[in-house]
Amino acid sequence: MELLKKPLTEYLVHRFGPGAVLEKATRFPRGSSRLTWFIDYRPEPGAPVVSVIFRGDFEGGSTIRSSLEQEYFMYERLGHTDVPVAKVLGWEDDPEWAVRPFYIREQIQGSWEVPNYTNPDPVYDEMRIAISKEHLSKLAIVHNIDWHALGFDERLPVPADEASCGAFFVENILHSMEDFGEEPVPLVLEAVDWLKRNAPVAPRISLCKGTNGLGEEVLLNGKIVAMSDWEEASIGDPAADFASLQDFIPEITRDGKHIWGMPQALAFYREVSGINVTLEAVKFYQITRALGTIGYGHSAAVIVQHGKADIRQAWTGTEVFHLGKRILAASIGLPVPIDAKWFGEMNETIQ
Amino acid sequence: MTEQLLTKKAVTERVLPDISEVVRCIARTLEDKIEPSLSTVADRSAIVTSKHLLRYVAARLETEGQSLLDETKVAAKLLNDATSFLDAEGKTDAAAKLAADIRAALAKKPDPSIYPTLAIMAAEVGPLRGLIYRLLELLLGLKDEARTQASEALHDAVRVYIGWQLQQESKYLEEPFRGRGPRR
Repeated sequence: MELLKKPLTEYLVHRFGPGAVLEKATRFPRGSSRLTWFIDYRPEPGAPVVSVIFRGDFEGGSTIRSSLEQEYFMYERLGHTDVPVAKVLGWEDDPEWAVRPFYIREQIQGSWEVPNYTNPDPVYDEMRIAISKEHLSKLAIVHNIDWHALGFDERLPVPADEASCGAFFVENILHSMEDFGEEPVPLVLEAVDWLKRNAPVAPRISLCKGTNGLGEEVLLNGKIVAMSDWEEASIGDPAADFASLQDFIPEITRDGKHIWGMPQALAFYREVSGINVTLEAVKFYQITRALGTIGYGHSAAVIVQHGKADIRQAWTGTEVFHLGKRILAASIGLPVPIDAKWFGEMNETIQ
Repeated sequence: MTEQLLTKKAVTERVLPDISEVVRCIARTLEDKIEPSLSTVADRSAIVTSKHLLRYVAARLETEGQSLLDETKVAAKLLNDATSFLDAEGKTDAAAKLAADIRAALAKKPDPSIYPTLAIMAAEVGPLRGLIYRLLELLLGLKDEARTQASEALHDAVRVYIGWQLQQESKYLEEPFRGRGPRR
């Protein structure tokens, strides 16, 4: 395993005791921001299998702006809330063992895949809506936690007030891009000006998850048992999470009537959270998302330039980077048409 | 026999194979020889991504030179137009400095004795993009009372350039990926 200097079997003994034996180690094929390894081991021969996750950066670095330490911090702090998350089991940076730092967390039983969720047969509509409501209810918990009391503001920047959330969010993305800043992109400048002029006032200042929805959460029997992928977490307008929400707000029309989609989801979320997120605010944050895509696309391009990139990062630094620019340009009214199907096509994975 | 071979070579008029053809051969080898032997999703995913990127490399090899050449001309025209605005309406030190930097950049001529490689052409375009970035910064920073028809027209021209430049990039960043299956 690329995170370790010695064989994984030896590390398991070092970490989990002299009887620990490896059963299986699999690298998660989907991740493009960080490395994820699923490890099954037995604490003693014949004992029940324990499943854990090793999480670390790629050799060339991460394409996302937050550090691995911050991700670990998020899981540790969230462990003190009602948000379903995997428990962290330790941070490893001992140079005798680690090629580079990584952390270990428990693996929750369940799956990020939902059988038949993408099957267009109307027979699955009720299931899709139920999953959507389940996810919105969990987001409501995240958005209502007392982030100050729990110390999240020790690591995450905090906007001054509700009115400045939008501009603050944009500034943070821009700041992360300045860290690299090797290629002048006039589009970014034009977009930032547009976004700051069109930023909505937040209904409240919440802890936001970042990327969420299908592929990011672990489900078991129709319930979310673990929320994963906190590397883009921030403090700000909860509308930002609706812009980062993958597939769990399906558009469903029955007998010519639109029975589920973003308006219905926002109304349900309002009921369970008490927070009024508007469609306009969601659209604004969808555009900031394109700016963020340019940010990590650019980061990936720089990692490729430095010569130790994973093949996935080379793709992020090319097509993903370019698509981010195209979406952003179209969103702020530049005369560059874009095929709406492109984004969905890019998210397809092999089986 | 020799005469026949020479005749054939003369018809081709280039050194065979060219780089794009070799890249396509590598992609086909990965697909035919390597991919079928892979058992894990992670390994197959890496090959799938690699094949997409090899198509991108071939497309970029074929189109980037002309794109950079075209962009040099388009960017130079935009910056040249900007100097008139900066001289006439730009009253600040920043405007004067930008106008001087633009003139210095546009006065640079490539050495005709050196073959313009992609790296050389990219190194010529990069500073022009940087100057357009600075021009846009200046335009966006104008206070309302300083905005004129001329400043708005120049801003529109910058926006058109941004769109045009993106479409240039799309020649090797859209077609090699679109409609060719999962990326990972």
